[in-house]
Amino acid sequence: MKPLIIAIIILFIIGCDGKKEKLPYLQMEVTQHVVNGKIVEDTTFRTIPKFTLYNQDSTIVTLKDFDNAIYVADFFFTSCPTICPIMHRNLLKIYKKYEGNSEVKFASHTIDVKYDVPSKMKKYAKKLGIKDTQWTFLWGTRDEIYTLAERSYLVFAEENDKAPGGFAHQGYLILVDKQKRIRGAYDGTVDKEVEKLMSDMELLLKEK
Amino acid sequence: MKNIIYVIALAIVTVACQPKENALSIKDETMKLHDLVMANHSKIIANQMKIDTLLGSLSKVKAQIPLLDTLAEKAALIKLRSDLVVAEDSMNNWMHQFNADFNSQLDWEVIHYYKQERDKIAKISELYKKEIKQSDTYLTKFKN
Repeated sequence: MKPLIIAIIILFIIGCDGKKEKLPYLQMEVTQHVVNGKIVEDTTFRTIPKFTLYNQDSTIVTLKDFDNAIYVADFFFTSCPTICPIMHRNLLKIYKKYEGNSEVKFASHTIDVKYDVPSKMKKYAKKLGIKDTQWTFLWGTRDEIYTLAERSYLVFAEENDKAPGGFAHQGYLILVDKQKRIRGAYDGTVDKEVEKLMSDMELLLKEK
Repeated sequence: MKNIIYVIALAIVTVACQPKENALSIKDETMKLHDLVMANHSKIIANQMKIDTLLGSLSKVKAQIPLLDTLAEKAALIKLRSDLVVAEDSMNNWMHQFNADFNSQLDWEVIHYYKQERDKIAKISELYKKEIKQSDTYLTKFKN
């Protein structure tokens, strides 16, 4: 009898392991090609394209700086009196949890490129209690930042079109995996969503 | 006697708290307007970017729309972009000078400050709507 119980337990463990929760891919692209007269569908993952921006230390930051790390991206501006402070207070909790973990990074992009120059963002980061560049505050030209927002990080938000044209100021926190694919989007102003982001980050870190 | 004292105390507290509550609700209105304007901010930027692209490729546009007067079009697009930049700058300037933590011992000062700011952002909100409508309408002729 005992071996039977042990066998059932082992099967249960294996079964559970097989159903391990996996995060979805937010931007899968299905393209159609004609091969030998037949239409063939090809599914690919859209990834974050290469970029060159500056951080709060006026140092160049590229996509390569996020190699071998999962990261959370957002769009904000330092003088924002409403959504951004709540979003960044919540993100700070996550930062504190992973402080010093080289597998986790944070990238906040300013949308107020005329005013939020790197020195301004340095002050902002310091006020928030960020001492290093594990949480990097990114500055670029208007076109670079808005193109990244519109065509990469926040495409889903624009497609949802809940607030036409306002996608860059909705407090989204975007979770990106080590292969630069978007795996989740969360409302950074809602506690439950932030908790979900934290648990999803754990899942993503375990993913091979 | 006790009841009368309670009623008077309650009345004093209510009256004393009244202006602060008003200040908070005016501040709340201001913040809501700010979010409304910010919801349109990306559109203001997106249209500027569309105009920049058009200005950089007027010869291609001319090939697609042969009846186009290139110089007149260029001038119109520059004017349109300039209006969008004025709207964007007015919002940026407002945000940079706005003090979300404004406080004073004098309640009327707090109310006055937030009322002033609410009126400013309300004007900017209207300006955003106007510029977006104007540029959207103009840009429709370039849609394929």
